[in-house]
Amino acid sequence: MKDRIHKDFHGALSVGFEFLDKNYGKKAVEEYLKQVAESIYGWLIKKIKNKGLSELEKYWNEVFSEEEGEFKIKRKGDEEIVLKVEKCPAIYHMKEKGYPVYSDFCIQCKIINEVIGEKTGYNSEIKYDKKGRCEQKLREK
Amino acid sequence: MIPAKEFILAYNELFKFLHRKYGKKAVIDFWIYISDNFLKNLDKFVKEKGIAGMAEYWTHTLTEEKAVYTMSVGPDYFEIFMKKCPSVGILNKKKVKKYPYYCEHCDVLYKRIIEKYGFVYKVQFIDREKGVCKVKIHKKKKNGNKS
Repeated sequence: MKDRIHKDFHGALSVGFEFLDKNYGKKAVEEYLKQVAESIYGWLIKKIKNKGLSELEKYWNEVFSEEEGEFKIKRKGDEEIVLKVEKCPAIYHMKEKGYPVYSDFCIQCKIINEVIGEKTGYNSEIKYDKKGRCEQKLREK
Repeated sequence: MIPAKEFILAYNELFKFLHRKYGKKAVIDFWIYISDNFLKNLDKFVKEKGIAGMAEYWTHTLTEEKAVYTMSVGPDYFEIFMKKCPSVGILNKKKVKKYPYYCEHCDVLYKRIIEKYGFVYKVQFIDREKGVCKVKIHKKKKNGNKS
């Protein structure tokens, strides 16, 4: 049986960003996300360093499939990887449930990708519309 | 996207970040903020259905989070015996440094809502490392004593 994912957690994270921004400014949100990237995604950074971008592809595939997002991934070996999200599961879930969405909720992907890129030798680029569509790219330096 | 399954790790990091940068009061302020701004569904359940609403809310969330627990529900009381807290389980499994006051968020978050509607909320942390606790809620008598 497929495990259920407690997607309401996206709403709680959004409220966390809002609290940080409101009380300590956007810099605090960014600093917090850097801490998250370094402490939570150390294992992924290590895997990318050892086995290349296929590990990032595997990870993105897993999480976006589990949460039933609409997305496509294109990878050119270890040179470049592009994740195109048509329906971000987090944003869609929050909207569906009526949770407030932090005005720059997508900054999490920007900062986390930047940290992953910096530590693995890739430049990170991201374009997002804050409505659940985005394009994330990591390109070899 | 930080996936929902990694939220507990991000949540734990937020507590640590706030404490390190601004002190424990900032962490408690955040828990109050979460309670007031995110737990509106729990508030609605308790406001409209009282104890039945608590049972409905926690059955849903604890099932989704795969907690190991027992729940006792009576006309004037509601109890949860948490045998394996799913959050603490995730933090232990991932071997991350747990925020030392992690368990206290449940006390701040829920007490605020529950007690607003004429109940007394008490939590007993039995083993913070293993994620074992007891939550006891009972109706408050008009004189403030247990009914």
